[in-house]
Amino acid sequence: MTKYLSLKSLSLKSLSPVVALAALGIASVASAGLQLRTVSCAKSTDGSGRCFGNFIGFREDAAATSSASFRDDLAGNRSFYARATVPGATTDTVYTCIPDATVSSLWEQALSSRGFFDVRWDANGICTYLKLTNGSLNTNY
Amino acid sequence: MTAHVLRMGFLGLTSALGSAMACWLAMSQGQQAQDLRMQQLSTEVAALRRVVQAMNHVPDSPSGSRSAGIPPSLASGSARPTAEDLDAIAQRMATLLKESGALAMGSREAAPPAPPPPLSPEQRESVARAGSLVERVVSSGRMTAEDVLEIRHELSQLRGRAEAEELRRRLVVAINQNRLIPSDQADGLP
Repeated sequence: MTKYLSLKSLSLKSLSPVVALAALGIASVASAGLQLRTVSCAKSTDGSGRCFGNFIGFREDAAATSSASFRDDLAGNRSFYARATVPGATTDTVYTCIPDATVSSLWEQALSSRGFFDVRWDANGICTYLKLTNGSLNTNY
Repeated sequence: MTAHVLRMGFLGLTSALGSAMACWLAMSQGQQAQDLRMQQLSTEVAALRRVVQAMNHVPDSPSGSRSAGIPPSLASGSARPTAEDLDAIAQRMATLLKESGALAMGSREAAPPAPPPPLSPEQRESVARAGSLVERVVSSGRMTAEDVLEIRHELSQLRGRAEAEELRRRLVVAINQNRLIPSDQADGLP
């Protein structure tokens, strides 16, 4: 019994550097890989504009009020709604649009998307273009 | 004499073999070094390619993406259509055809859509209340979270009606033109 314990102790001691190295290796692998955090919104004086970026970018933006969302409700009301602070500005700005029938065809995917998006709207507040991209660069949650 | 000649010949042969061996070893080592360098170069090129691809991750050229609507680059006439652009155009055309009823009607002419049923008295009241609320927030330039909930409640009585869509669109246009500032606490559009 005593011999067994001493062997076990020796084994753990000798293995500890290996375990530590393995842990370091796992940690470095977990944090490897390219990640993007992108937030960009802009609009013209007539109200037309564009937002693109990824959700992780809005979530971890330096401005605490930044957010972006694709929405739907039981009444079938769909909208894109985002807040972002333009570089150099002191307050955030709201950007929003309602999808037309074509863009609405991608709305179900937009609602579950966690990746990169690019949405554009016209002066009437209609989302006229939407692009969704899924990839390892865009999400880590 | 003969022994001396044999010894000299043996030494020459040994020397020649040694030289050949040395040359072969040098060439072999040089080849190995060259292979190793080629491997290193390949690795570096692959890494550079990954970085360049990542830098090129701009909205107009991501891979593995889906899009809807006319691509802006084509709308402006600044680019030739890609396969992805053509898919987006085909999708838009299919949507428009479906909406027009041409696909369902075949060769027959599409009938005009039936007019929506008239609003009920309760819905007319909701339209009036929602309209006055929208007018008030747009005039004041501010929309609180309570305003959003109140307008949303009225619009919920008008599910799918053009009147509700028009009121929501008025809010959207006012917001995008910076004439209406929703509160930080406001949960999106009504």
